Amino acid sequence: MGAGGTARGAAEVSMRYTAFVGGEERSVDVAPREGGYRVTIGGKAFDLDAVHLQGAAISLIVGTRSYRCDIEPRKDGKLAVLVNESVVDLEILDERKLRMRRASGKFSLEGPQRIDAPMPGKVVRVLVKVGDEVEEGQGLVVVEAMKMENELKSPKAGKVTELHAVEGAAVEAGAKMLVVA
Amino acid sequence: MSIRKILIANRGEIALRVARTCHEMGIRTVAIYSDADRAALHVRSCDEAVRVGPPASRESYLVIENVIAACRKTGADAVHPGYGFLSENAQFARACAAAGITFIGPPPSAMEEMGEKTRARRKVIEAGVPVVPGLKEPIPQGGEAAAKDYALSIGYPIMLKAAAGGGGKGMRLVAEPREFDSALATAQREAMGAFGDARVYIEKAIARPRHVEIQVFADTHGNCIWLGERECSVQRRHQKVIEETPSAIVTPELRAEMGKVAVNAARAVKYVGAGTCEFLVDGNTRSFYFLEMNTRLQVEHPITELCTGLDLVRWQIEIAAGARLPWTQEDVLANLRGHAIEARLYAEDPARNFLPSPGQILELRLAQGPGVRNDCGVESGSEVPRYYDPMIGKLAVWARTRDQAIARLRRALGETVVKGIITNTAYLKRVLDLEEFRKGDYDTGLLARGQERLLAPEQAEEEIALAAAAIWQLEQDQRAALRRPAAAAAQESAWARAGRLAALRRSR
Repeated sequence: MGAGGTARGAAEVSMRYTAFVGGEERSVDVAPREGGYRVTIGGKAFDLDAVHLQGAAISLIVGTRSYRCDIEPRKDGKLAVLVNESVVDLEILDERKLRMRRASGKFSLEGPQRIDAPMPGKVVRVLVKVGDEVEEGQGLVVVEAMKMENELKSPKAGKVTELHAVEGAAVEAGAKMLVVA
Repeated sequence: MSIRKILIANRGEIALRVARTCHEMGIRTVAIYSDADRAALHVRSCDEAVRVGPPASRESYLVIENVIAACRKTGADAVHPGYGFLSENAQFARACAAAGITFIGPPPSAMEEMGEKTRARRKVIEAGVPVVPGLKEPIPQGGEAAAKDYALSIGYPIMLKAAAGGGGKGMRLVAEPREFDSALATAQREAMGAFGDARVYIEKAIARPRHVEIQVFADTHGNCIWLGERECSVQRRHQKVIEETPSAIVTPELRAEMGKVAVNAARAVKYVGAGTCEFLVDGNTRSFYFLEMNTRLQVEHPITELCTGLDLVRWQIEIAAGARLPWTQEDVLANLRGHAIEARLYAEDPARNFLPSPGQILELRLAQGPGVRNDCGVESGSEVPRYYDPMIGKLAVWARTRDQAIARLRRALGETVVKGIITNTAYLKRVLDLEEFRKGDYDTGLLARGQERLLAPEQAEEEIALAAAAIWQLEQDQRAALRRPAAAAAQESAWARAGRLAALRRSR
């Protein structure tokens, strides 16, 4: 869809999504309708007039209320949606992605936990070694970016089973630093 | 002496800020850049540009020989150091002088006397300037135990500060004796990383402290004046976040008194150019104590410009060229007007403990409209490198009254959109909404106290956000379903396409 193009007509298919927002799970149905979309969120229906704008942005009119919504896909697959002035962080999954997500058990702290670099930077200190017993909240690795040091903490009590962080090494966001099991 | 070409020994928004004034004055400009900044906006905003090294600032922006070589190569007759990097490095100022290049800043002797805080303290005490009680010397190696005893003797809470530092780096508040050892280690490490000098010293912490600083200006003819104050008490871990002028706690009498003391401190070191005396003001008694003098242009100088109508960079350049101060102290008093506030835009994520958020800016929309000033070092498409400070720009506003200025900044932050990286814009809006801030009755503990409200999850418009996300996702999914490599698409039958759409439909 190009700049200023209408979203109408393009949507031939209605879809059901599951959204995670503020730690809550909500079902969201989207159906194209005359003059826009009907979006049903947890049983509550909204009729919306939608126009796609340049970049990942949508202008919505609900009744006469006008919203500019800027959508920003983030690296972790989540979306940040700026509505007028406030940002809402959410995740929106179709059935297939939801199944995959549930199967991967990403929600629990059961089993080995992989700790990744949260941002690009440099490993300035490694505070543990393989085999160390660690407590929940214990500092594991210190990564520095933009002159600020950030300590990565253990999400659970357990043992360090893998260690990939090397002092002095540059890391990208999402790089595997260590595993606590 | 005339200045025809200035090398700007800095990057980001301040390099652009300096270049703007140079262009207005008909002065040619030279940018310097590291490998991480080849595509940066400041490089394109100057007439010439010279590479000074690899990304790490210690190997590029901080390498004196490389910066001097860039001056020689381009025939620059003056250097503007901006803030940070080499701006308070006396050795650099001397190297410029030795190479016959005008350093736009104070004489190296004044930088040295004010640069190291313990030495600055001694000097200003001689000039009758009030200071906070504290140990006058950096903690020597092996002197940790004695330092701990001293801290106990002046009473907790205490502050640990980098002897060579500024800008909140290498600075730690220690609330209790048991935190002393780890705080000292962290402060020393940060001081080493930021300034190449690990030494720190001890100072008593003041209850309800407000950070108020006085802008001073001096010329080479013995004139020195103050240009009003800036309140910088909105800080997070000693990093300034929002600054305003005038300060809500400063009366005309207090202003005149602090101004006089600041001018005395500047005169004590034969200061020349733009400088700032930082004071702690006790929020209860309005007693004030000299903290340090920053011998450079400050990040927050735009709010002083907005309320005086001056261009401080122009004054810096003119004074470096030997001109007299164009204003007397009476001129300043006659010209101070209205209220200005600045908010610093940081590439950081408040929701994740202010984690730095470098990366590419996909889209940048800056505020416009009445009373708005943007000083921004980036644009849509810019890469924010991970090597440097996370501040990407500053948004400043002016209005006739404090209330109107707050409302204006709130509005302007609402117009500011940065996509691709996470910034603190939403956090800044919430700071402006804090009641303590609105009333002007705050101190440097404001952000720590307001933490919970500042970081509470967003409530508003969640359903609209969900609806927009779902509509956007639907379109993405449909596009993905229809997307094919060009060759395959050409051969694709209508049946195959219908089948894929049906499959998509079944997945609901």
